[in-house]
Amino acid sequence: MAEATIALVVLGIAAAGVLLPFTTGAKVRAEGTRRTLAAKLANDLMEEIVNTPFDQIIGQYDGYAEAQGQVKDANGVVFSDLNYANFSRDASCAYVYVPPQSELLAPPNFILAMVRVYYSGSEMVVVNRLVHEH
Amino acid sequence: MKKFRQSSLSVGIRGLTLVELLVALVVTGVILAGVVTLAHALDTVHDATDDTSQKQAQVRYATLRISELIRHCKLICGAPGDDLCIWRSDDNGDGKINPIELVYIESGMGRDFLQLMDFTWSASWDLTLLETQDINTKEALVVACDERMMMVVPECSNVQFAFDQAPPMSKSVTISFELYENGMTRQYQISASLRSWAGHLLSATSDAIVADDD
Repeated sequence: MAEATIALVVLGIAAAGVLLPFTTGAKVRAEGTRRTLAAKLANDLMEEIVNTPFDQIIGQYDGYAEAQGQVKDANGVVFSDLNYANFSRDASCAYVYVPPQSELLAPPNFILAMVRVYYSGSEMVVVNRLVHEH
Repeated sequence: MKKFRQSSLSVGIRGLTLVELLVALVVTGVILAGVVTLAHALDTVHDATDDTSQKQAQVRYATLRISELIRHCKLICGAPGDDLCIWRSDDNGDGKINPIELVYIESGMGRDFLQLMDFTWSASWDLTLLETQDINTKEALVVACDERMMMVVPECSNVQFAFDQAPPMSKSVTISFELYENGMTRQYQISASLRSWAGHLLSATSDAIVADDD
């Protein structure tokens, strides 16, 4: 019986060793899926910003935020899929001058838009884009 | 020989009892059952993760391919039938829509896949904007030109095209679809805005391409 017990313990340790890479792999894959979704969400919001008339971008999107579980699709409807439940995102936009532009010569015609996506409060993706007045 | 047998028995060498054999069999059986269960679980996990990885790869590829196509296209011509017709670029600079410059994003009658179709060769042929919006034009083009298909999402459901404004005035397109992953239906969307919308080529009523306005 003692030998059998020892064999079971050894087998248990071996099984744990075999399982560990799989559980680690599953975690990494889940992280990859989250990052893919986060990048898509950031890109979707950035596309909305880019598609907004230049003079309305600051008013609409500077300080824009969607709380966790309240991320909206392109139609403005909150995603019902549980995949999006832990995501949140926000945006900030500011007029900027791009060298050799000068504040003295003309009003700014560039906006630096920044979108951040979070998963359970942790920052996952940050996307910056310079938007030019057409 | 007789002497040897006697000595072997006398020093205590004996076989396993029936109880010991049964215990050993039970222990072996338990271990084997555990190993088989573990192997099955690993196989199931492998299938699930493999499926998820494949679907995620499809989503990433479709997002990249379609959003780049829409961002850099000249015009969303229309959404005839279950397709989206896109004027990709004015390759020959004639200000007119040629078949070889068109890309269709197809979703099928069941709206259950996403596929790109373009043309690698066509005879000299200018299409009007209204023709690109006609549901029968694609079939005519397939007959007259050499088409090329590229499947981007082979198995999905509920594909929907949404626009900020009706084509050809659209400057933003959202393609939403659902994928079945790990026993659950997941929502995805691809959003893209046109960076170089060729609205200046449209007529005042937006129903025709005017090649020489500016």
